[in-house]
Order: sequence, then C-alpha cells, then structure tokens
Amino acid sequence: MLRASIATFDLELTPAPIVSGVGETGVAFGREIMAFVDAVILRDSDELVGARADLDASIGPAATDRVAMVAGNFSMMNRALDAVGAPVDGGHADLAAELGAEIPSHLRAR
Amino acid sequence: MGLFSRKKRATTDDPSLDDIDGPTADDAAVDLSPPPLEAFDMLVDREWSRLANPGTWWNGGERLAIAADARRAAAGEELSGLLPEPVEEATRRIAADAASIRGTDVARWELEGLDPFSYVEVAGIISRLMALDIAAFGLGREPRALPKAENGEPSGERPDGAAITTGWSPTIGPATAPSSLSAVPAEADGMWDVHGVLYLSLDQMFDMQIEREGLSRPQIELTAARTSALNDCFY
Repeated sequence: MLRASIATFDLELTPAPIVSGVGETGVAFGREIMAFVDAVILRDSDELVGARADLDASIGPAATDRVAMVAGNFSMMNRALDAVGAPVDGGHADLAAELGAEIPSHLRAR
Repeated sequence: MGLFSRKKRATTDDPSLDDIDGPTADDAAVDLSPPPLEAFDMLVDREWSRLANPGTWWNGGERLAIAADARRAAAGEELSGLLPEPVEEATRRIAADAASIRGTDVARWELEGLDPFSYVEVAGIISRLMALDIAAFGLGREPRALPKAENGEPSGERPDGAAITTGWSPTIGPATAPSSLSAVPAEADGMWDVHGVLYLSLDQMFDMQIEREGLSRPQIELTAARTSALNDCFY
C-alpha cells in the first residue's frame, strides 16, 4: 500500500528506513511521523511529548491524532494476523529484501 | 518499557524531503473535516459494549477477564491468575509478543483445552483493545476503565466453511488480513468497525490519494509500515 500510494505522487520510496529507523523514506515529514510512531508503539511517555510537538508543528494536531489512530489500527491487524498464522505471500520476498529483512520460515506460504 | 523497549528509534537529517508532498500545519488549518476525537470516543463506547456483553464463545465476565489480563501483559505486569493456563498464555502472547506465536503453540493450547474458535475470539478481544489503548496513548489520554460485565450466554455461532486452511487457526477461505477473524463473525465485525474509524473503510482503501485530517495516503501507509516493523510483523 505504501509503494502504491507513493507512486501516485510520482515519488520514489526508499523502504529500508522503515525497518532500520534511520534515513529518509521519501515520504514528507517521514522522520517526524516515524519518531511519533516509535513513541506511541513503544509506549514511551518521555519521548511522546516531544515527538508529538514536532509532528504537530509539521502536519497539524488533527493529522497527528490520525497518525496515533493508524498506529493503533495496525497494532490490531498485526496481532490478529500473527495470532492466526496467516502466511506471507512469497511474492513479498523481494520487498522484504529491500527492507533488509527475510520472511521467517514459519510465515512462508504453506 | 519491558517488551516495548528493544527497537531503534527513527532518525534522519534530510529536511529537503519535507516539501515533497503531504500536508503542513497550514494545510491542516484549512481542513474543514471535523477532528476525529468524537468518532474515536464513540468507537470506544461500541467496543466497551462488545467487551461487556456475551460474545460467541465467552461470556461478558470472561471477555473482560481476558481484556484485563491483556492490559497487564502489555504493561509488563503479572497476570491475574484467573484465566485457565492456555488462555492466560495466549492472552499474554497476543497482547505483548504476538510475533512469537507459532502453530505449535496454538496446537498445544488446543490440547490443553483452548478451542480453536474460542482462541480466535481471544485474538479479536485483545487485538481491538490494544488498538484502542495504543491510539489513546498517542492521543495523550489515559486508557478508559473497563466496563462491568453484562449477563448472558455466548451464542456458539460457528459459521459454515470455517476451517483451518493456510493459517493455524480456522478462517473462512485462506488466512489473510480480511479473513483473519472470519471464523468468529462478531469478532470480524468488530475488527472492521475499528479499522474504519482508526484507518480506512474497505472502500476507502482503494483510494491511493485519500487524505484523513490532511494526512496523505503515503503518510498513512508509512505509519502502518513503521508500526508493523516495530511489532515484528511481516504483513
């Protein structure tokens, strides 16, 4: 979805920072978004205040609220999929490699 | 912090990318769509009703006991000891370490008495609760206290066609994101309710240029991708 959506803006995605947390992805204010998501998902109260202020200043408070909600939604989807063992399509192997990762054997299509 | 503290934080130093696409604070100032907080509060109201009432395989008290222990697990706290052992372990793993779950775990829990359909309901309860608690944390809110249980018995509804196919729990059709909780339709309905309010409805998902509160689709999807990376999730 990220690759498809970014292509509609004629931009190029650099996916590795999504996993490493270091570098630019090609998404506007990606640095601030990822820092806020990190604070939310890691439930780091100390980091949350500053990360929220930085993102508010970049994209506005309502959009920042939406980032918090999207992070919540995908925490739900991640858990549901991991719980039921939905396999990862083998076609995603190339994307995983771009991310600097490998699809674990237990998630490969059965 | 415990289980939530092991990942490296996002950093970069290229401000030139900040002008490529997506909203700025000025853009957000002219966005006439209402803030999403009211919709969030209404969603929590609905979820609390779902939690407190009998589900498909668990009654309201049992659903709330699972939810309470899921919160303890997410906070790195000791669990209550009230849940049967396989339910307690499944609760802890789904709440705090879902990426570590394997088919052998689910099979073992079944041998220890956790029915596969009941397990899907456990996954639905916990995954939605974590969604709302995590979003609330990002919104700067305290998690809402859990409700009191309502009386009644579980429905026991078992949909036609639900079976173990490509996953390790029953689904209707192959195990995918849309079908993940399909073996317990009420839990799948709840998931789509959360999904539509917090992220996008199924119809909206096909619109690659959609914005929500000025957040562009690439920014929405970057949020999703980073969340999945932090959760060690490959989907």
